[in-house]
Amino acid sequence: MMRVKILGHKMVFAAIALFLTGFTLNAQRTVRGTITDANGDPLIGASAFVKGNSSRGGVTDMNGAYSVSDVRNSDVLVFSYIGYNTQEVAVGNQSTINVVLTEDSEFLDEVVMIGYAVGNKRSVSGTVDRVKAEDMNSGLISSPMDAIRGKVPGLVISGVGGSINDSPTVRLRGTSSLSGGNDPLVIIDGVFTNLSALENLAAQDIRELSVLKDASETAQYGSRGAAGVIVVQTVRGEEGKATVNYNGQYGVSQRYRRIEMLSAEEYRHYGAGSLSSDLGASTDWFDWIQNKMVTQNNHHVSFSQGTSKGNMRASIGINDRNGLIRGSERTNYTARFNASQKALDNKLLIELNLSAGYRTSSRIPGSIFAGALLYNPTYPTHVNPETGSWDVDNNVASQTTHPAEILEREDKSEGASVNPSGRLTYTILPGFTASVFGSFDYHVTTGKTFTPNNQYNSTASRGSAGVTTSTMRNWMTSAQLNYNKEIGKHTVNALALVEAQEYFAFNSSATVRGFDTNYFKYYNLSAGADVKYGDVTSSASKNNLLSYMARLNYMYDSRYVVTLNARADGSSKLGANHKWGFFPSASAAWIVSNEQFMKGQNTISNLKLRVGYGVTGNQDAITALNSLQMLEPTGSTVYSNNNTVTYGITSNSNPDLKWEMKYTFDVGADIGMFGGRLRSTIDYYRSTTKDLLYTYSVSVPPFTYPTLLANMGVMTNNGIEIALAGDIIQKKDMRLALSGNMAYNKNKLVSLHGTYNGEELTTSEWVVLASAQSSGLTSNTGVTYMGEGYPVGVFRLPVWTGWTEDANGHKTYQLEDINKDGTIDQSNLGDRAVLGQVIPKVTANFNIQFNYKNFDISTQFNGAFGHKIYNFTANSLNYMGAFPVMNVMKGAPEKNIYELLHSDYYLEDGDYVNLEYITVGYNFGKSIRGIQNARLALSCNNIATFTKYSGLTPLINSQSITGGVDARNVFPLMRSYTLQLIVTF
Amino acid sequence: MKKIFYVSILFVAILASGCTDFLEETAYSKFSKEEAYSNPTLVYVNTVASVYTAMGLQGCAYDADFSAGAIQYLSEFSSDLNIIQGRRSDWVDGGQHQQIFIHTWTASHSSFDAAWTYIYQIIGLCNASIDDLQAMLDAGGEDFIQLYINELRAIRAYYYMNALSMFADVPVVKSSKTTVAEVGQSSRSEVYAFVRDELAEIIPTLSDASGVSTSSEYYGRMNKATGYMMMAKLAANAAVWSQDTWNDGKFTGGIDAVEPTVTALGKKQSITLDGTARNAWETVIYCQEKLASMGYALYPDDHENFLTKNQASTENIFIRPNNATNYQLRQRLMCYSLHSNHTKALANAAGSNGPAASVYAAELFGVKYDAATDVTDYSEADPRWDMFFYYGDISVNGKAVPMSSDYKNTLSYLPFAAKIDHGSPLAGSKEEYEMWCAGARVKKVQIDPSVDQFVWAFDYQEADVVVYRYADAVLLAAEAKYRMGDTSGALGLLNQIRNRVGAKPMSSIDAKAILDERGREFVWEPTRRDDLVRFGMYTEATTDKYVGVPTATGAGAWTYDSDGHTTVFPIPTSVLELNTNLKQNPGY
Repeated sequence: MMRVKILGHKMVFAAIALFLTGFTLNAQRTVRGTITDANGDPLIGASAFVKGNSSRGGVTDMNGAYSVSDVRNSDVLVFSYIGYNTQEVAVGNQSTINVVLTEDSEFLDEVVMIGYAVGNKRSVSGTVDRVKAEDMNSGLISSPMDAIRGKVPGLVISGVGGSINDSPTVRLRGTSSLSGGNDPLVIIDGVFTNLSALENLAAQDIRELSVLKDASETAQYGSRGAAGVIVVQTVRGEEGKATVNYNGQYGVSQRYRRIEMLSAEEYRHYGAGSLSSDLGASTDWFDWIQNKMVTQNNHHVSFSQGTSKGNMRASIGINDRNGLIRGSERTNYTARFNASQKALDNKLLIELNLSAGYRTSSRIPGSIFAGALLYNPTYPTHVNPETGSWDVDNNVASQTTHPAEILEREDKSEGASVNPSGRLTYTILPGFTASVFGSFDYHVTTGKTFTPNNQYNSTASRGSAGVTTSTMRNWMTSAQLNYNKEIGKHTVNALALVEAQEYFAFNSSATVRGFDTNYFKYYNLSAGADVKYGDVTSSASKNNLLSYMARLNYMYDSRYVVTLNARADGSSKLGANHKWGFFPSASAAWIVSNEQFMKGQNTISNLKLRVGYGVTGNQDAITALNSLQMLEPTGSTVYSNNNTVTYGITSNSNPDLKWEMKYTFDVGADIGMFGGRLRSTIDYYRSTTKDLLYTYSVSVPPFTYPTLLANMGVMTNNGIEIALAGDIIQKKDMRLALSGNMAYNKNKLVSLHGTYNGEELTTSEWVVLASAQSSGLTSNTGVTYMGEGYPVGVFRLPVWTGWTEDANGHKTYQLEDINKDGTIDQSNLGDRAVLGQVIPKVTANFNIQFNYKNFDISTQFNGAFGHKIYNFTANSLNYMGAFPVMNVMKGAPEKNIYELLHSDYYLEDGDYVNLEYITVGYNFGKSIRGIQNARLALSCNNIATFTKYSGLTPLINSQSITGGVDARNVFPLMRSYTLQLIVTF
Repeated sequence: MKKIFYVSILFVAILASGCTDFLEETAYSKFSKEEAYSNPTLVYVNTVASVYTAMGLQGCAYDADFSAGAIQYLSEFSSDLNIIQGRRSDWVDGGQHQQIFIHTWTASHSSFDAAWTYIYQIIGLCNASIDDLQAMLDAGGEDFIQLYINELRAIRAYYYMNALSMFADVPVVKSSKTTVAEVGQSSRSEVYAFVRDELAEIIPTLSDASGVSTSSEYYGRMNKATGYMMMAKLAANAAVWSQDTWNDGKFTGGIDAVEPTVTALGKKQSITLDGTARNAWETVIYCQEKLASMGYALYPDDHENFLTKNQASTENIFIRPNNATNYQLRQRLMCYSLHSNHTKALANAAGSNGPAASVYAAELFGVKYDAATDVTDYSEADPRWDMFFYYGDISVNGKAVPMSSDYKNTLSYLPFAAKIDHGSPLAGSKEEYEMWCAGARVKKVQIDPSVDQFVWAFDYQEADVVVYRYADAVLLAAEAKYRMGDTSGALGLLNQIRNRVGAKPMSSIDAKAILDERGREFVWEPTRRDDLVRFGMYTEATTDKYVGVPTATGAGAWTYDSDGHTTVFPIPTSVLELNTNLKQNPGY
């Protein structure tokens, strides 16, 4: 406090001194006024400063009022606001200057990062969606995924129930590949990385995300752009501003749905006479494995400043989450430092970025649910004081693990990453720049697992402990030439690039067993007595990519735009004859609203029509050395009475592996109406993926192993995306903005044929994608399949027609004899019917933002439609055949089903609308001394889910091709209440 | 503009310098064939020994799960001697084990796919190694390479023999270059002829060294004795395996109906071995005599063939080396079989209370049961009953093994309570106690309780896993002599087996006596299915399976297979799906 006071005195003194000197030297004075929009509403936070000296000036308050002190007559004031045309006013002898800023129609000249290229929104001819910091979601934000969910049409972020340790599946325009490579490429400040790096970034460090969806733009990334590209730019220091920002969230979460199993009393009642053991307790295991309430903490501090010569920003953040399942935790620390500086007469721009992170997590396997649901409710929730171990039901032990024993196992991981990168850009001539970029990305992850020696299934092995370490070391470097020139009506933007990348991974693991004490866990592996062959392993792999790229963007008279991209990628992972792939694209746009004939009307302020076509590739399913016949250790045997390790080829190799290619056509329109108050984007696309990479089942013989990674098959995706946003009310004190988007995608697997060694190869007519099994159901376990002519991931199930009841009232399934051959065949190609698809046909999102004076309220609805969910949880938990060894759901004894098999009886509609969050906030503005702005907000996440689905939640992973099955391993959603405080100094 | 030009030229120069080496692959944790075959030891290790590694227990014992050990699983649990009982919901597993026992399987049963894939995987590995070795030989490689090729052909023949027995009409693939289009089924007689000719050709080239002694270079490898043993097995089953039609009823109807057919068919088969052509039965006798002349003999203690340090056995011919710390093979039959209270008392280990002997097995061993008094009489049981089974009251180190039951508080295995499915008896009832305790349990394939607990933890044992032993050759020869009309010669060999264990010698012999003796001697060893088929008993009802026998939901109902199509398993559905050239076996 003392220091602040002294500082305060000093400042007052300095101000007086300044005032006095100014008074004596020149006619300096304070200029005041308001900045409003065309409607006369004040613009809050607009800036007014002296031209050429951005440190002199300020921003408008709640009433749009500003003041700039020490202004000379000769000064020019610059008034600006995002989305509005900047205005300059010569001061002269005015002391009050009120300005009206006109809206920049559609921000058309805003700088847009389109991958490698820097352009503006006017000259973009492909499909680029942007999410800026101010557009991100409010509510509980644990990762950037939470911040952008629902904001971009066609970008689906689908979590797995309420699990905090399972990463969400992210898909852009559906699924276009059968194996790896459906995740969009993520580029953070020029560094090629992946979704997990995005997940580990602090959302507060993001200035803007660009989402490249169609091939005319993603072709810039060639072989890696097939699943779309998310380009992230982090926040940098701004010229003339020095700010300190604190953003903190504290939240509490609780479960809001549960699965009702028989209570101990009901269990005894229905199991009377056949209970194998009753220990007298009344335990609700499902409740017991979960915390009543858990907390989340999210704190982020940043400071930044900038001058005309350079800028810097530094930030640190912590995100700490506890899961509902006891013992599940996740903590993420982030640090980021960005700086840039100009040199050599401003011709050289030096940019440096450094990010570092550290993460810890403690994971509980999803199998805990099966354990908790099925376990005997008469067993107590404490260890047996005599044995020091949990009482375990022998009858169930081989099939279901005691939930408390699962909780006592440890599965911990800690990871650290550091990523320095830098760019030098030299302006050779105005508009002509050359730059070099380099990045080094290093990750290390240590996993630690432990199973105590007194658990039922580990008494013989006397516990186990394991440690895994994996390190990744990625280099990338590129050199780039850019040429930007406006000559009359011609605008040219061209670039050429060469890029090289190297990925190196090293993994090791060690497992030991045979502990007589649980004291050491994984902290001293030599405390375990037993190590056998294969318990200690290591491996390393490397793969390289070399790329050349050129791009030309040409605009004539701000009316016609053409963009051409060409990229060639060489990958070390591919066979000698297939190393290189060529990925071209072209797109064109017509800005109709700039045509003469559109002048003189006020309805349509912007209309741009776009069309594009491009080729992208995918090689993610291929691992290093995949195309080569290489030998690796296969195990040990005896040779001349010595223990000998033998080496062999352990999978079918395929020297013909090549790029998976995706051909995309896109046509779309951007429309702005009523001065930009109503905005819409519509896109239609068709894409075809050829030479699909997939690990196919192949015939043994002639193959040695039953699977082969090969290029087989063709898949198409057609879709429509519509985004609509409107500023319904735009008044001085009140604003109401609605926005929504909808994406429809139709996926079809056209063919599953291919060639291998010149030979036509076919796979099974129906290939199982997801199966569900449990004790009592171990054959005919397929649930979702892929087959030619259908979307990838369809439910193909026996059809239930009714029940057969025996003398005891025990019911078994009657199934339809679909092929009318007199027998019911439940196998993959047997009497099964296609009954719906896994991946939603339509996803939609709706946002409401309402501001009244300093208050604001925002909410989001997310929905998915046109898909089904297989409720294996209900299927298996209604099976009375294993009761009372395994507990059943409430109502199961009445249903009396004594058979466990898959049928459409448990296939349910998966449609849902989830009320994602409601946030109420209050902005203090400058009303608190010394603070530029402060904001307090209260949010509630996962308020309600509207669905017909009867399981815990329909928000299971329906985006993955192996998803769609609720197999009693989905964590319940959490409902969270979060208090947020943002303070900017 | 000049500047732009020069900079662009410089840029192009940088582009062009992107050297092609950059896209070459570097292998760190794998290596190439050039490295893997760089000296004679590595050539052996990475062509032949690597196949032995992949063999594991060669499907002959119970691996981590039943599907991995599918050959033995399918042989023993589809027979009359061994049974996996449904104990309330325990071991029901959708009825899959009961389907195997009562022959109600369908082509999609997972164990068929497991067995097929396993067999052809080893065959594929053999073919790849043979092709590599042949290339070395063609490039002027040394003579020992030919020996490796022969050894691999012996391994391959072993697996084709299994395929011949189980799936009959199977593809014969001899090269790693084979395409899918070239893979079509051969008729059973063609597959039989292929295995016969392969064995006849390579047996003389195989090593004379012991495959059992740890001091032998051939420890755990296929040697000449194994070759003769394989030929004895092939010849003994030649009458069945050489037939392209097996679903015409000639292999069903019981011993008396089938014996003349099989005897006659065997006499018709001609096998040329060591330069002499003999019929199938003569070949069996020749192989047994050959083995005897090589020094193989019945080991004084039958049970010791299976116990720790069985490397000293003079009887074992082909084994899978096993050692708890080095070359570990997982052998779970005992852990799977015993009640957990029993394993806990033995070694504080987990037991699964699964596989047990059928009631028919108890009867076969001469155990008597009086239902009226509920008394089991073991007094007249064959001596091997006690060698191979746990039964009756169980105690460990003199202490009775406890059992938490209201009916009885100690564990007692009840041979005559065994049944395919126990349903859900009332808690605390006698039926519930019987459900948990039904059936005599595995003692033959033993994990030595005296060794370190570690062995139990991983179900590894110190005893090598026996695949072939001389006793089998002796009883096959007895059978062959009987079928050739030499009853006294047959009786002599049969009584060798009986005398060795102290069983009362037999005074006369017939086909049933031979089959029964095989049952008592080889229970838990994977030979019963072949034996039952050859004697016409595989399809017949037994004490444990008959029309109306209660089974679990999903298991189906036992029906009599009068045409005999179940003597061959169906081609797995998954195989037919992936290769449309292949046709399902008749009857499925």
